[in-house]
Amino acid sequence: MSYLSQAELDIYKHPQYAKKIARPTHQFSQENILCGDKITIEIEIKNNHIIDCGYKAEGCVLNIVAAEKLMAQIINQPIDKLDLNPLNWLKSFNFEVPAGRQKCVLLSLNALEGILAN
Amino acid sequence: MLKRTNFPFFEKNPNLVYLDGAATSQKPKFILDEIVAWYTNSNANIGRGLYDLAILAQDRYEAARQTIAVIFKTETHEVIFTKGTTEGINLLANGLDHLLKPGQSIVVSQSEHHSNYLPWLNLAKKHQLILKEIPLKNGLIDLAKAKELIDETTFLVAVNHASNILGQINPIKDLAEITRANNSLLIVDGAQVVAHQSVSPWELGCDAYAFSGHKAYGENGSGVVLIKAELQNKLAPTLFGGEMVKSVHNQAYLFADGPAKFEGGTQNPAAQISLSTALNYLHKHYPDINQYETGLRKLVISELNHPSITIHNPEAELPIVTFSIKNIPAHDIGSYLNEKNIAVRVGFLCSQPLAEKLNPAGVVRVSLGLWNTPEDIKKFGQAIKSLIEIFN
Repeated sequence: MSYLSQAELDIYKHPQYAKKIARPTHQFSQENILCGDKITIEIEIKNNHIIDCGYKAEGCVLNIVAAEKLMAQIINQPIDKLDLNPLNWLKSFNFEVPAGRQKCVLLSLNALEGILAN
Repeated sequence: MLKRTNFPFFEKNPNLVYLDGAATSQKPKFILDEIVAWYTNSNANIGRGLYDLAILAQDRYEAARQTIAVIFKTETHEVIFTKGTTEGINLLANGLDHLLKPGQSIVVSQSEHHSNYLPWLNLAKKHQLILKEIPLKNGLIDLAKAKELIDETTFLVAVNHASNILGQINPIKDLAEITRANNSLLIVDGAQVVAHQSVSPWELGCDAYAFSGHKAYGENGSGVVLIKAELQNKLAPTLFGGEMVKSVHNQAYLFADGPAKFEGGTQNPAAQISLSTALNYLHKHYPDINQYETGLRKLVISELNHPSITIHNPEAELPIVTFSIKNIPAHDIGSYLNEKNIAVRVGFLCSQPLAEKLNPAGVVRVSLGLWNTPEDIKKFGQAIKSLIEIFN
């Protein structure tokens, strides 16, 4: 199934988490120099939980769709329970990530990884 | 003239619309036959054996060099075989390394492929040189700015004959007047041009001219850097090993003369012979090729006639059309076309500084070859129209 379905295009055109958050405690940026995709993720961590999150991104549909999915998945979650395994992440989409485009959907995950590693 | 049916690749891939000739060309049957014939009849390591087969192999390799020299109007010993443009330019950059001093400058243009940018940037950083970049005017090197930037400190100027994004032929002859007036070397990246137009680098005023064979219907891993004899004498070899020396004795060595000095190690004669055959074919057919490709390019432009599409190189002489579609990221265009069995190049195209200027989200490039047909272009146009509908 193509990732360019109506559902994914709706997410791309009307993102919910593409915003600055009020009290970010952490942020991290990632860039794919091959295509120009960029993302900066902000999160607020309190009591070991992500209580708010948002991002600023430039780039393709996959980059935005993946960022939206990640934000929806991590909000209100304890940080020690987050699954950052890239293979699990790639399998979690309801479409096949096109060959050569894995970096597009991994960009936001890598940014989150950057936050948690620092 | 060659047409789609002369390319066996499309017997196996009949539904593929291949619009990425500027990345690499598909290979016609006579080239594939030649490669097979080499390994079936002629294979031996060149420059080493004293037996008939090795001597014949060497003769064929040198005949390929001679053919290329005739096509480009150079001396035979000015043809150095390489793996491609990148190796040719690196051979020059590394070979000139020992002549560079802090305070000198190197001048490139703002439309260089990374292969003609990074070797010079690396040298500039290593030797504290100033790297200057000539801006573009209407997609071409701005000669007035070049005149300001090139001065007595300029050791060399390295520019493309045509950018892989824009496909416009740069005014090399005019630029050569400026380099000559400042005693600077002129090195030209011809990777995009030789598949489409006849080139006489010495008549243009170049000191060296590099290109790849795989973009011009030859085998991958074939290529040439043409280097004027005077410049060759100043260049240090960069590949040390077999057959690039006359003698090695008591920890001393004497370099070989001519091209052998720069062709250390085992060469790929099948690839270079296929390149000379391809170039020979092109040389005889350039006017027809040009006419056919120009016609196809016009069709592409006409298929892209839509208010949301920007064509970045409307003036190109080469069969390259680079464009962006408003609000549709380049990578999504590429993936969508791939779903429709259409191959194009998207992103920064190994020329990030220029591509980013044209569109920070990357660009889409259609590049044509003799395997393409008007039907290919029609399929491409239909796919682009349906993509725009999906995003709207």
